[in-house]
Amino acid sequence: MQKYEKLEKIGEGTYGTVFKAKNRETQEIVALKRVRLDDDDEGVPSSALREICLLKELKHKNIVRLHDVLHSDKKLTLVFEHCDQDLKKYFDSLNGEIDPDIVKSFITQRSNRLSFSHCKHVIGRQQKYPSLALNESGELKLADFGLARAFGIPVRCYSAEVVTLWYRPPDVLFGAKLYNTSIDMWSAGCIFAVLKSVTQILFMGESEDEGQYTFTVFLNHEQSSLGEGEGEGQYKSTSLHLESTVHLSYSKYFSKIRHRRLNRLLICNPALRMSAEDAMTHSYFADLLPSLHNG
Amino acid sequence: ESSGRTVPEGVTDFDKETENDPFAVAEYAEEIFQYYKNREDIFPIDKYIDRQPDVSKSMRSILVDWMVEVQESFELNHETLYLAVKIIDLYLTKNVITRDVLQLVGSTAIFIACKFDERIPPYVDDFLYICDDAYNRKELISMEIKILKTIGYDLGIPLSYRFLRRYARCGKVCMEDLTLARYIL
Repeated sequence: MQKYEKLEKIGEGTYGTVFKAKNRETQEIVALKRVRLDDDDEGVPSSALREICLLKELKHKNIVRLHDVLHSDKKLTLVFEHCDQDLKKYFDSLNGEIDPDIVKSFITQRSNRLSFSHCKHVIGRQQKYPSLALNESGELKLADFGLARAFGIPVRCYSAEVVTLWYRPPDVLFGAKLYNTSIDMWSAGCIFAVLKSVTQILFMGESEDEGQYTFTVFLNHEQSSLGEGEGEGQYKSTSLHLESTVHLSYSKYFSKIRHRRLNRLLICNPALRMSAEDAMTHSYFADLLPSLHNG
Repeated sequence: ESSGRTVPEGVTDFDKETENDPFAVAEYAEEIFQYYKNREDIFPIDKYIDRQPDVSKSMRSILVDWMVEVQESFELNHETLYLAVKIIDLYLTKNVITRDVLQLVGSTAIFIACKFDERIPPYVDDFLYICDDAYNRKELISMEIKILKTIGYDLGIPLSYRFLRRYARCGKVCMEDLTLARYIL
């Protein structure tokens, strides 16, 4: 690792540790993500393999750039562009107030990136605001691709244990293994809510059961007409993930984040959820500069 | 819906028909296949067999036949098999090898393709077993890195199999014809 001088530990990724480092020749600041390769292991972990391959493939200003992959005896080192802060730190510095224009800019960048990846056969499955990073010019970048995968047409069954629990769409939360690009859009809705409210998380739960429970209780509150089989213990049997077309209205609970657009992202039925493509043409962005649209 | 694409007159718009099937991803299908087409040039495969003094055409075909058996016994998806064969061809386009490592290249290629595309990839031990322990763990793992480096860590390789399925669906080809076409592929 002579080429880079390690400066400090930044955090832990889906696998391996992340360091801030400096290129000794160019003085450029980068982030190094280290993947250990043990002889008695399974070689390159599949999450790392997918992350590397998909980042090599997808180059977009809202996706963190993978500069290089270094291989030495017992490890792989991924060299990423460095971002100054993650969204969580940024929020913490705001004291609960956020400029609506900044929210709009962030959401545009997100939709932009999602539409870009979806057109290129990749779903992220890892949308949560701590994995979003910011650089000094306000560019929002997805920094964690550890759960992303390429999808085929038609879509096959993939793992249901994806997306950080609080951002997992109800269909997947309740066990659907067949999902498509809509999985990212639910999370996008959750993040939108987080942005609007500056950190209010919608569906908290410590475990899958708890997540399902919180969600069911919430839904029953909102839509008492959903009817029979309410309450704890019953939620697993509901087939809500494929048939229900319940629109969630957050007005009663989250007055700060009431927004039409949320209602189109947070739809239980994945088939009816708004796509990244549609999100880009939504009236919410109508007053944005055209340059931002195409960015 | 306003993506500006048009279908020739008299042709039914397949993506329109499957609009309400979330698993056909109709909204992105056209663009994704265009994207695959554009990517084809990034992965050139030439007549590398001419440069391989120790490997012949028939050895490659025996290897591929063996890989089909592996696919069946591990119950892998077709895409995984096609991706693995692509990986071999790309590797052999850039590296001259001896025949004793051909099977290692083949099984490592399946190993990589599984990690990329399968939900539950088989283990290293499974691959060593199907090679009758001709190679050890260390060899497989170092071949994995060698192959990944050679192909530049990019596995977004367009596969003929995906195109065939797309064409067959859009053209409403019957199952028999599709099976025949698959056989030819």
